[in-house]
Amino acid sequence: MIQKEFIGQLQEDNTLSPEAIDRLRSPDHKDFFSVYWELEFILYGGVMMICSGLGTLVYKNIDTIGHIAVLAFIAVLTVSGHIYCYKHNAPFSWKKTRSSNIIFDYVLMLSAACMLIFIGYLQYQYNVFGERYGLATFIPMVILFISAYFFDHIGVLSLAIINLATWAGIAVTPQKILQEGLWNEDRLIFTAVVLGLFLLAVGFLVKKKEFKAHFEFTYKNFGTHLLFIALLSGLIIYEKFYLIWFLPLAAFTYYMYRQSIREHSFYFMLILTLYGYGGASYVLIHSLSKIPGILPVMEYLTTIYSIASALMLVRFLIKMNKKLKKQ
Amino acid sequence: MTAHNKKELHHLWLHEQAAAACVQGRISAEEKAAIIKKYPAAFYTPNKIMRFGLFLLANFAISSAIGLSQMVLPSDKNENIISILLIVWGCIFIAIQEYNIRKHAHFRSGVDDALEWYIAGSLGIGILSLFKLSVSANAFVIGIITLLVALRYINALLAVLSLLAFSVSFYFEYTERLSFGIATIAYAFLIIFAAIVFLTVRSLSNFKTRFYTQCLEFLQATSLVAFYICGNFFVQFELMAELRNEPDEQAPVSAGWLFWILTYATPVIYTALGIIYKKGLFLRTGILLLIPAYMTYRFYFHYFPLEWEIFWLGLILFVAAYFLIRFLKGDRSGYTSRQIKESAGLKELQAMVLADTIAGNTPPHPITGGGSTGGGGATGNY
Repeated sequence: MIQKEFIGQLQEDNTLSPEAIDRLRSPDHKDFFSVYWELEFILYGGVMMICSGLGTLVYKNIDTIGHIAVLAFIAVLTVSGHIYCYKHNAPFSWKKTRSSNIIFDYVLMLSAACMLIFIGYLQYQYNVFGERYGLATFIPMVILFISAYFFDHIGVLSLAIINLATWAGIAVTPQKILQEGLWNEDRLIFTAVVLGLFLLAVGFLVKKKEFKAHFEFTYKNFGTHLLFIALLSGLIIYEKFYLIWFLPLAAFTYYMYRQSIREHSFYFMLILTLYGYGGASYVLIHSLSKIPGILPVMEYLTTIYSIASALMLVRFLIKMNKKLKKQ
Repeated sequence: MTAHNKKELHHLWLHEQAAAACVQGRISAEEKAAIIKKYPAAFYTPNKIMRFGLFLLANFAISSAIGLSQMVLPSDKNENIISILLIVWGCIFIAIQEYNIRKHAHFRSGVDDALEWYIAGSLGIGILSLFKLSVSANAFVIGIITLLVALRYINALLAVLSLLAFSVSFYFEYTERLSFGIATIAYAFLIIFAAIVFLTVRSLSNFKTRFYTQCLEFLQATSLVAFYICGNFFVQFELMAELRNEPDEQAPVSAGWLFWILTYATPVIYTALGIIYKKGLFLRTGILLLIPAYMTYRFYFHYFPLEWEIFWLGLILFVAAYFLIRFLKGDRSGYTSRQIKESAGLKELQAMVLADTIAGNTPPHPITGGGSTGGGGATGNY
């Protein structure tokens, strides 16, 4: 709410022109009130509820006639949603295209989610891909990538990347990562390293070649987290060869630091600080614990290190924040 | 009362007013920039991401420091020493906070947020463990400490905690001292929270309280939700009865019909007020409270299987939003469905939650043994 004291001060100090002051005072001016976020919330809630409801409905009706009816309904939703988006889509371009409205975004998200449910159940119930289980994730992944690029949709691109990770054998949603913690299997760690590097490379390429350059953040975001978590997992799991894992972790942290400075990214600066700190602290404490006779004072040393290092990082982040702001 | 520089706070308020005027289309972006340039606010206030990181690290450093001080104490220390140590820490944190504010102009920097919580926490726990008080007195002391810290450093979350602590204290005093306390506590709270909402609405347009806008908004949101909780039928007739160890029929709240009305009418009234007076807080709270209103209905009535209800409700929400967006296409009556501010990372987050939802509702794969994202039936173990 615009207060009269605000207008009074601007007038008194001659900050704005008399016309601007009149505009501020005008009772006839129609103040805009955006309900965008409320509508986003309702639409997203709607998509989530439809997907949850449909998912459970099919599951509960497996082996009944109702099951086929529900599956047919999901197929109709998938196809009609994509047709709607096709009709309302802006002409394709490798540059960013603005969607016509938020309905478009969520119709596409709903259709993509329905497609995933549909293909998942086709495989579960009818085993359409036979023993080639990878195909059941590979085909939706390809469709999602095409859809993300064709309709220029970051949400669908994220679903496609999540599906790509699932196809490669790792779960990358926050819930799964929080539930399972760091990876503890060779195959998972190495897959995550390769996938992380691959996503970072794709992010780099889409930006350089301008193939939807604004998708870069999404690729880079997934790639960075995957690679950091994989390197930290390797550092902790392969205790004997921890330096082999620490070196790439340090190198990657430095690379991300340079990138953050260049791109003025507060977000990547923060995550590289936290992951890098985690890795460096592990190596330091692990190395200290190997010194003979240190165990009795180890508890004190660790606590003193925690205080000193956290304070140093606070100073570092404050300095970086000022540096990034200035640029 | 506040430790922060009042001139800088006033400038910050001018920035907020300019931003609001710009969103409403009353001034241009250039005019807004001119205002910000003329009235600089020399606070150290990083963006939200950095603030979060600084908050985490400061928390880590402070908790480690407290831990270290406990470690150097003799192992046979008595409880009072720990209490006094915590109070000493509280005083040290106040000194650091005051220094940071004066010397480095920290304001919502993350570091000051963490210090404020530790000031309130150390002093609160220290004092409470030193003096053995009743529950209501404990809550009252916490209310006073958090209120003072909230006022001194303008901390909205501590203001909310203060309100909740005073509410707990009031609950025990009211129900224990008055013979009709249990029967009427819900009504008393309804009146109190309605009064707080009314007062915060008034105060938010008052020039004198301009430095505490965020605190007042948080208090208003809390009071709106608390009013709903007090008027919710399920809360009064199931949860409160269970807390009192009494079956439903003996629940002291007699006017069941009133609570049924409040359960469903409150979210609708909030939403309507939000639309009529263009108050975002009322509108958002009203929409969010439709969820517990539905859950209350679902607890008592089961006309259809849950999955059918969820599916149909989702479809209704989606279709309703569709028609609302079409209706608002020409920016009718000052309302618009256009996006005013960009939101980085939201779509990625939405997709991840959606992927988790699909995974949660996917039946386990016969070979791989678990639901997963992407509907393929594979998990991390696949």
